[in-house]
Amino acid sequence: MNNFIETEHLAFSYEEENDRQQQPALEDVSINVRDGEYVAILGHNGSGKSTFAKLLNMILAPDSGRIHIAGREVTAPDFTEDDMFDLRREVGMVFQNPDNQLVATIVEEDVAFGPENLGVPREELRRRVDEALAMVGMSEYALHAPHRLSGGQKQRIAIAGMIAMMPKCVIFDEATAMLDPLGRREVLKTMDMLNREKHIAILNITHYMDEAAHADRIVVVNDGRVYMDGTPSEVFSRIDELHAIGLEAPQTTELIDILRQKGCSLPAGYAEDEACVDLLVRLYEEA
Amino acid sequence: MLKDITLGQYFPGNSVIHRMDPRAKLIVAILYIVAIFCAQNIIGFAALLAVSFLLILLSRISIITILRGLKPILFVLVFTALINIFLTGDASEAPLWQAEIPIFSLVWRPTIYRIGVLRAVLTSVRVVVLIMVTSIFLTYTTSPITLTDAIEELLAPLKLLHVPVHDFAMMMTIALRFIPTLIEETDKIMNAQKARGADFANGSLVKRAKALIPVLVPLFVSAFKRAEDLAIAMECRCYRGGKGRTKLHKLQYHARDFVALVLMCLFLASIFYINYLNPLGISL
Repeated sequence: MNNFIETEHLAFSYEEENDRQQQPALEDVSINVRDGEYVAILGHNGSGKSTFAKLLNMILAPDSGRIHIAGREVTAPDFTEDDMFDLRREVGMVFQNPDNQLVATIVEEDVAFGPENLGVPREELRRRVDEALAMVGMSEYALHAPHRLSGGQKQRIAIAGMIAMMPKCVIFDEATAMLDPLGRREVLKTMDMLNREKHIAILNITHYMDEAAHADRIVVVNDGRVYMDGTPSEVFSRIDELHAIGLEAPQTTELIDILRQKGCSLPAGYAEDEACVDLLVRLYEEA
Repeated sequence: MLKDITLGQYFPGNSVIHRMDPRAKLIVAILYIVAIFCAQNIIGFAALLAVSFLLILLSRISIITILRGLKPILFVLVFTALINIFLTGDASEAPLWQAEIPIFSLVWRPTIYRIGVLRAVLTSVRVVVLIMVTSIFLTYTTSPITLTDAIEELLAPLKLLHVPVHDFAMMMTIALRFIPTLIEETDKIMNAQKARGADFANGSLVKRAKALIPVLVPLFVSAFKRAEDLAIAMECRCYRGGKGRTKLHKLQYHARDFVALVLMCLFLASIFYINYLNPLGISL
């Protein structure tokens, strides 16, 4: 499989006013995402994970390092505005604040906004909008006003707006951070569906462990560098290293870890809720 | 409290008026506004009112909603009515009522003439009908995006003069989109300031205006933040101005639009005719 996104040694620092010392947001980050892969980028606030997302979508330009998307070098000096336009249709982005990314006053018109900009002909527009809304389960809200929807519903509309552009990859920049648990679950389900059924690569930038557990691969970012990179069970089994940078493993893993420290004989590593319950039941029966 | 404002809100529906072409609606509304300002006597105003109520019925929007939309202009209505009652009139006519206030009467005697009252009523009717009809045709039954599309298309000839018509239309759309969001936010900030002991309801006008500063500052800060976020989100969705854009909804005239236009022209003509005839002999 090809790499859809390749980044090499990205570095970036925000310019600060008053000539204060520049704190680099990214020091040296190289992360690759394969076609159709589901990657979670994990890190606490200020780890540089959001900056990474902005670099990928060319909202910011890196100070050094190179970015290849879909086989083209984004950071090349001859990369023009038109190239950027072509690339942005391949990489969608869903942001944190559900209110600040919906443009239109009617749901279906908002979903149509992206493909309209691409110049998609009308019949196909209609089809894409209907399909995208059906996919996120919001068809019945097609004619509603976005401000009357819940946060989770607004995010699903934003996702539908991306789907309608038919991207190869969607980046979720802390898209669930402002949602209630119900809304988070809705959005996560939609992400999983996009990846499994539409084979769209997903890059979920988050600080929620249980969300990261959905991904095929987790990249932990800390202080502008890649701290860990592996499957969820690999990453979560290195619980001490996570604690060292102020992150916590999912609750089940934490629980198993505590029980192991107390001398219970349990296998180390990540377990999903069900598996964890099974382990505990077995432990109880043995006792 | 701020959530009650309905002016500028779209109510989705499927009435005849909803289905009309927004360009036709815009032209019809303009014709109606002309009629409102041309009507000069009671018969004409009765016709204006009758047509307005007919339009409300056709739009299938509840009359309560429409009346609620008038609330924000209540002050203007009362104010103009009072001005008309006390400050206009035909001095050659016998006054209906005259104030007798010692000393003060030397400076000014509030006097009410029949024509002043009539004018107050008719001006109020004018304003009410104006707001009702424009909101029925434009804001209530037309989604703001189609409305902006209509304005964009009607103004399209100006593009030849390098007027950025599309950009203006986009700005309008976004403004309309964010009105409810910002209202909600204002509410939130006001509550937050109230929780810190701010008092918006009491005190002199100056004091109350000053109390609003701690509301406006955070509101502006957040509005700018929103604007930046939205600009980035729009860029990520490949927005680059009107160039090469297609539209989900293509505007198309139907028979009903021509019927509406013709009817409105006839109505305007009959207003002129009524003005000319002036059957009851009362005019402004």
